[in-house]
This record gives sequence, C-alpha cells and structure tokens, in this order.
Amino acid sequence: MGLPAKARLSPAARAEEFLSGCGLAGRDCLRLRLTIEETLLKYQEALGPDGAFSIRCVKRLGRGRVELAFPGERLDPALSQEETDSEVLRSLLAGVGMLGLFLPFFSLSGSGNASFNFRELLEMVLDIVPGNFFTPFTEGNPLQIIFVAVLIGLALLVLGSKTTVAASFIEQSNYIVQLIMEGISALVPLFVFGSIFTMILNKNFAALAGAYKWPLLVLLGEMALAAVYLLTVSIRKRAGIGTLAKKLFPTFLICLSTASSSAAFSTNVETCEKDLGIDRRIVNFGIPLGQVVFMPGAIALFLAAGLCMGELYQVEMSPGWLASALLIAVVLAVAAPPVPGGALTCYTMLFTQLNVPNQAITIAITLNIIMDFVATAVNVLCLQAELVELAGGMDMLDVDALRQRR
Amino acid sequence: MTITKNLDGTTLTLALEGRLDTTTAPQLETEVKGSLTGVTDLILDFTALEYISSAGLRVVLSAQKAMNKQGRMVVRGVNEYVMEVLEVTGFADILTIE
Repeated sequence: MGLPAKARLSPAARAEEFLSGCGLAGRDCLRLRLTIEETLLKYQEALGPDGAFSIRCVKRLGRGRVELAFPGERLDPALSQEETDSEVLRSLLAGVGMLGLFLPFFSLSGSGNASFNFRELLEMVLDIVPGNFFTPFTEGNPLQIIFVAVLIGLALLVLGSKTTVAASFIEQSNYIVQLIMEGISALVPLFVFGSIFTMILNKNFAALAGAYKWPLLVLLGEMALAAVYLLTVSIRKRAGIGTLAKKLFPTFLICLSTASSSAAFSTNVETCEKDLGIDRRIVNFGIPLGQVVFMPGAIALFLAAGLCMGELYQVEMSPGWLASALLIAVVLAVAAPPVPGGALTCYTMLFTQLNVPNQAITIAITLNIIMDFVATAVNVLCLQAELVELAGGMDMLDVDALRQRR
Repeated sequence: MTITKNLDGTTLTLALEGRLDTTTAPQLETEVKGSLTGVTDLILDFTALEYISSAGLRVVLSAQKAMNKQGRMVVRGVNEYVMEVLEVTGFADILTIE
C-alpha cells in the first residue's frame, strides 16, 4: 500500500504504519486507521481542538497495541503499567501478611518481639549455604537443597553440551526418586490409620486437642487469601465481586470436594477461557504450570502447622524462628507435589527445620487430610485470580467477558 | 489542499489536489455547501488527490446525500490508495466512481 510520506505525520497514520509493521494485513491496518480517525474526530467535535490525543504504539510478545489518551491521563485506568513486582516477592509479602494474621494467636518467646535479633536472621540467611553438597540431603534442609539445585542448574546451563551425561544422570535420578516417592505415598493411608488408631488406643487425645488452633488458623488464612485475591481482581479489573465469585465457584467446589486440582482441570480451563476472558495461550501455559508451582493456600497450611506445632511442643519461637518458618513455608509451598496428600511429604522437612519433634508429624498428617481440601480449593482460586492479573498485564484479557454476569 | 472549481451550466466540477484530511475537509465542506444551488451534476475529480481521511469521507458522503436530492454525483480519477479506502469503508458501493 503506497502510503504518502506526509500521512505519517498524523497519529492515525502512525498507528497504521506501526500495525503494518506488526504483520497485520494491509486492509485491516486501513480499517484500524479509519477507526482511530473517527474516534479522534468525534472527540474533537465534542471537546474542540484542545481535546488532542496522545498516541502510543507498543509491541509486546509479538502483539501490537495502540493506546490513545488525553495528555495527563493514565492510558488505561484499569491496569497498572508498573508490573515489576516478582511472584516470589508477592508470595513472601502474602506470607508476611499471613504471619501478621496468625501472630496474635501466639506468644513469642526467646529474644522476644521487642528485642528483634538481626544476628539471628543473618545466621539464618548464611545457613542457606551448605557446608558440602551432601548435608542438605541428609538433613533434609529445603533451603540448602534449593541453593544446591540452583547452583548445579546454573553450572549445567553455562557448560551446555559438555554436561549432557550429568544432566541425564540427574534427570534419571529424579525418575528413581519419584518412583520411590510414589511407593512411599501409597503407604500414607496406612500410616494415618495406624497413627490415629494408636492415638485412640493410648487415649492420647490431648495432643490432638492441643492442635485445635491449626485448622482454625488455616481456615482463617485461606479465607483471608481468597478474599484478598478476589478483592484485588475485583478492584483492579472493575468486575463485580459477586460475579467473580460466582464464576470461580464451580472450580472451587470441585477442588473442595476432591482435594485435587487435576480433577478440576477441565472446569478450570473452561472457566478461565470463557468466563474470565483469559487468552487461551495463557490458559494453556499458566494452568498446568500454576497447578504445580503456585500454591499460596499451602503457605497458610505450612505456616500455621509450624506455628501451632511449635507452640504445642514448646519450641522457642523467636523472630528469627518466625522468619525461618515463613521462608520455609513459602519454599515448601512451591516444592509440594501437586497430588492429593502431596503436602504430607513436606511436613518432615518443615518440622526438622523448625526443631519441632517428629511426633508432631502424626498430628499434622491427620489434620492435613481435612485441611488439604480447603488449601487445594484456595490454591486454584488464587491461581485463577493470578492468571487474570497476568493476562491483564500482558493485554491478553477480555475484560468484557470478565465483567459479564453469568 | 487546493480545490479548483469549474461550473459549466448545471455541471460543477471540483478538482481536489493534495490531502483531504481533518484540516482540509472543512474547506471542501464550505465549497460544496456554497456552490450546489442549481447544480444537477457534481463531479469530484480525485486525480491529484493523494490521501483521504475519515473526515474527508464525511464531506464526500454529505455531498452525495445533497446531490441525491437534486441530481447526481460522480467521482473521477481515483488513485489506488484512495480507491482502497473507499472499498474498505464501503463507499465504493455508495458512490458512482468512474
């Protein structure tokens, strides 16, 4: 299309040229240019020559986007342009919020709240670096294991094709460990049955009753998380909270009744695509990945477990201990296997790190069976809300579909 | 934009040269409104017209509407780019293009 050179001066022609550069068909570019011109004309008719637009052409992830705005106004009031906060930081902030929610139910010991010991925190950070490559695995220290994994992963990346044998070895070792884990997981119901049976036989209800705070706190934390996510999406995307809750409810209900995000997979995909207006490309990538690594509900589960069992077994709960509990809860929430009862494997590591006696695992496993249902439902609800935010940030969200009532 | 006007009896020819956009469209609008009395044939000569925008299309449409009541309007010498605009917007079906 032979666009005259002068035409490039006008905002609409600039948009046409830009969109043409994005690979859009010539006629579609022309249609868009005329649409922009019509918009400009209508606003100029209403507002006079002062109603001049500013135009911005941006290309992100291969998608062209033309934004029109009056100078001095935000380009899109529904979306923030400052999408710089990382997911890890968000998780930690969510965890800190959760800690603030839980702390009124506990009395701190040791150095106490007033005399916060930074040295303790510094030691905790320094302890992430292991003495050798084997102790993290023998001691089950999750932070050290992740540190070693990152270190080895980086080295393998740098060395590339020189380390194919080592990469294959690690990959194949992982298959072996997974198989062993599946075998152990198969025995979990037997272990739970035995633990409860022994507890009843020994009339040892005091330990179980003493942990009454845990389910209550988990419920409180999960409700707070769900409310925060729902409110955030509702406010930022200007969607009715009732409408939003109604759309998320079917997936939530399946997870709540099965404790399995996989069982709700198809409903989740359908809800995200049709009801929430998330672009299919994000749904296809985000849901399978998110169900494996994005488990904010599990943070509440682990954090409450650590705090309650710590109190029950009279572990010294200093600020450093709390920070450690928070960090491990966040890390374990990412590492927890995404299968029903997957959180069970993490309690051993959690309690070892927090110096909670191993007897606590019996109680944790027993109560976890019930709490897992709630945590899974909240995990998926938060994932859907997070995907809406993500899609909105990447201009891959159909806001009308999101706001539309069912 | 330059508009060359030629009245021959009841036939008015307006030859446009340059760009018909937001800034120049009011000029054509004034010219059309002020010259249509007694005109039964309006010829818009686009031979030297480089560019037409949405604002220009509005004026062309209003001229077509006015001529529907008192005669006919013909558009001549449309170049490739302007023709594409007319086709995309559906104006090619409304106007008589020669």
